[in-house]
Amino acid sequence: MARIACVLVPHLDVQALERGDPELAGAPLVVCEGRDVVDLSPPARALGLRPGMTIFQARAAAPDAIYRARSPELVRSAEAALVDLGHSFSPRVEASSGAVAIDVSDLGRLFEDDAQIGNAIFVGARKLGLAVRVGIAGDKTTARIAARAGLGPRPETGAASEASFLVTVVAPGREPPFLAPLPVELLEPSPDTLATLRRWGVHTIGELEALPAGGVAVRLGAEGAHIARVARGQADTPLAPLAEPLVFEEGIDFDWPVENVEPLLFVLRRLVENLTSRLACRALASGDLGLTMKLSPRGRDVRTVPVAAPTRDVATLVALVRLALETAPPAAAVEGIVVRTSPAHTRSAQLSFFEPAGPSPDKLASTIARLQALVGDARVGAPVVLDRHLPDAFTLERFDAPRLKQPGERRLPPADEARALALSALRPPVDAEVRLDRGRLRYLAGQGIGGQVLAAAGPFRVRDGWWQLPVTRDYYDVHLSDGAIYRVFHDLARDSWHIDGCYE
Amino acid sequence: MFSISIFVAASASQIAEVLAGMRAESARLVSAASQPPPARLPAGSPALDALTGGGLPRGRIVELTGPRGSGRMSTVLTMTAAVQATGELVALVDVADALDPRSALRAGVVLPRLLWVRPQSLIDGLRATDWVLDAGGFGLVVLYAAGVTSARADERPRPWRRKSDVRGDAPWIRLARGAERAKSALVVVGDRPTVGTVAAMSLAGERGRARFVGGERGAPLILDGVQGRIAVARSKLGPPAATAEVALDVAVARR
Repeated sequence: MARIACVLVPHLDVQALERGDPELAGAPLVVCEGRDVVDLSPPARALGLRPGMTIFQARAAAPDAIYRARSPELVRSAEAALVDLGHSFSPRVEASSGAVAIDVSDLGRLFEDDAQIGNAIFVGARKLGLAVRVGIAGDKTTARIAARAGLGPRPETGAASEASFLVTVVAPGREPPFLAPLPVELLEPSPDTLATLRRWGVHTIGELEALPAGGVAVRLGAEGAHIARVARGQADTPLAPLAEPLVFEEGIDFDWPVENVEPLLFVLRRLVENLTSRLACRALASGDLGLTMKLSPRGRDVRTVPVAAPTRDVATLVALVRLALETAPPAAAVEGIVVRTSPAHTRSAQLSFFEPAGPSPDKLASTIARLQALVGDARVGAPVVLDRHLPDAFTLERFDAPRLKQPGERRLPPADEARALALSALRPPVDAEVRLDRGRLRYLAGQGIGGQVLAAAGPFRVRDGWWQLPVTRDYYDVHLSDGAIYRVFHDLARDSWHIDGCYE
Repeated sequence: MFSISIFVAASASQIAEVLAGMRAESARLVSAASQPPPARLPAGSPALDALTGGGLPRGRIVELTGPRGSGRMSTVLTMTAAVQATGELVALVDVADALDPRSALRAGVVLPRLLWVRPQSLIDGLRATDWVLDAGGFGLVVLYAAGVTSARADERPRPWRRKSDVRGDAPWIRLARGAERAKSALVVVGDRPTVGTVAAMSLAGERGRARFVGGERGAPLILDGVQGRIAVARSKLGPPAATAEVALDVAVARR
């Protein structure tokens, strides 16, 4: 038995703006497009304003209301969030303007009944910053009518949650009696058809149902046949699920250009929060972030902020964006910004029975991303020795916290053996001055280092990079009178001396 | 260590207040003494294990100090290899940017299981250590700040930073709590003691004698190793004043 949930966002333009700027919630908000008022928040309606008024009429009637231009970017983000909400319940989701239809037929094992599904959808939408109406019925048209009607069962006693008023469930087979008392406008007929129905004296869906279907079809055409079928509870429009690529994008256009990084980050934080909430709907995390900034008066700044490991940690992502913006600020004031993320799955790990439990993959990924934001891009990871002759040739690769012992892992030296003498590197190498006597090192001095050479082993010649940038160095192990042993090299190409480490 | 204070009591209420304070302190000490001893991680060699009273204590801070060339990096790498051999992960927060990966490899460190963080200031290093401890799951965390003075703490200008230096015990207390929560051993390496009373144990390294071989009849001189010493300067976990001779051998490294 098919069950379809229709999730509707009333006053989408208003809600999209409130989602982008939560401080607008509860304020008398007027959304304008050109010179016309296109949408109003409930407090603005209470001031006597109506859609269709000109902005001048509205300002005359309510000068204290907040007037904002319609933001297509925010509306798109809100609709995308709605689709993500649908996908957190079912893979079969159909989107239309300001609404989604979700196939909830097979959720019986997760929820006790349809009302519980509706409540869960309502709560999920609230987490995404949207107040929705939910209708559940056997087909999507009836579900949409139920959502628009908003006639949830009122509890007889006690306080009820807000959701119970905004979730309407039509029991299977009970479509005609449910629809009968509802106004015929909920069938969304065209203005001409509605005018004809009015002339016939048809005001409710029940009155339309009472008319002969064939006669209605003959007089009103295909549209008449369709609404007559819907009125009988026989709507046959199938669900057309989406097959869109996963795109997670949030954007906003500013009312005036933003010149400083801090206010930009303030807005970005909200966008990133919205993105991570949407990613959470699909059990995904954020990979690299793409920023597109609309510059004033023209031009764009497009950049990618690398994220070391997928994460949904807002603080980490904002820190990375902050680092990117402060390292290379935009060339001009910013008029609008779009944040796009490449979704990635959070890591999972198989715990070993015989090894200690390591860090949780999610937490480790988030920590590594934070560390990367703190210390820089190429300064966090696992070291890898490069197959080169230069002793300080290494790179860093992503730290994956491998749990199991690596193939070919080195044996730990027996505990009774002497320990290996390690080098403590000086990066970058310290420029040094030397005094030579018949080819032998006698005195060495560098930044904070200096003394007589007591003993010097070497030279050990190293040649590297002959195919690209040849490097030839003579290395020495030098015991100085300050008591320490240094590794010193003589760059033969440049005839310069450097100290690149101390044996520690 | 005991300290003796002389009070000149002004009133009976002041005497009562001092006595109450002494009772509270006594109760705290009894409570601390009755806590179970911390679990240990291997320190890498019998000498180091004996010196530390059985290995590195989990959930505590061990401080290792000494002058340049006193074997601090070798000791850290030995500890790292030993802890990794038990299956634990190790993180090295290397404020001095001093790790030589080839030396680490020779010391038996499994590089893919070593998280290497290279902060550019001590403040960043403290923060990074805090975050690594917060992530949990690392048996050993090393904050390597040898040769880094607090004057370097804010070397890199950052407009949103307000703190300019590391002062007081607050960061170390925070790190000690982090280590306790994560059940990780935290080793702090520096030139001189900075952790203070928060450290469960302070080890002091002394610069050793260098050994060279060869040089006779025109044979080339080769660095053979260093003989160093590490002493327990202070310990809350066992009898103090132990000293260990530590051989750092180049020959072993090149084998």
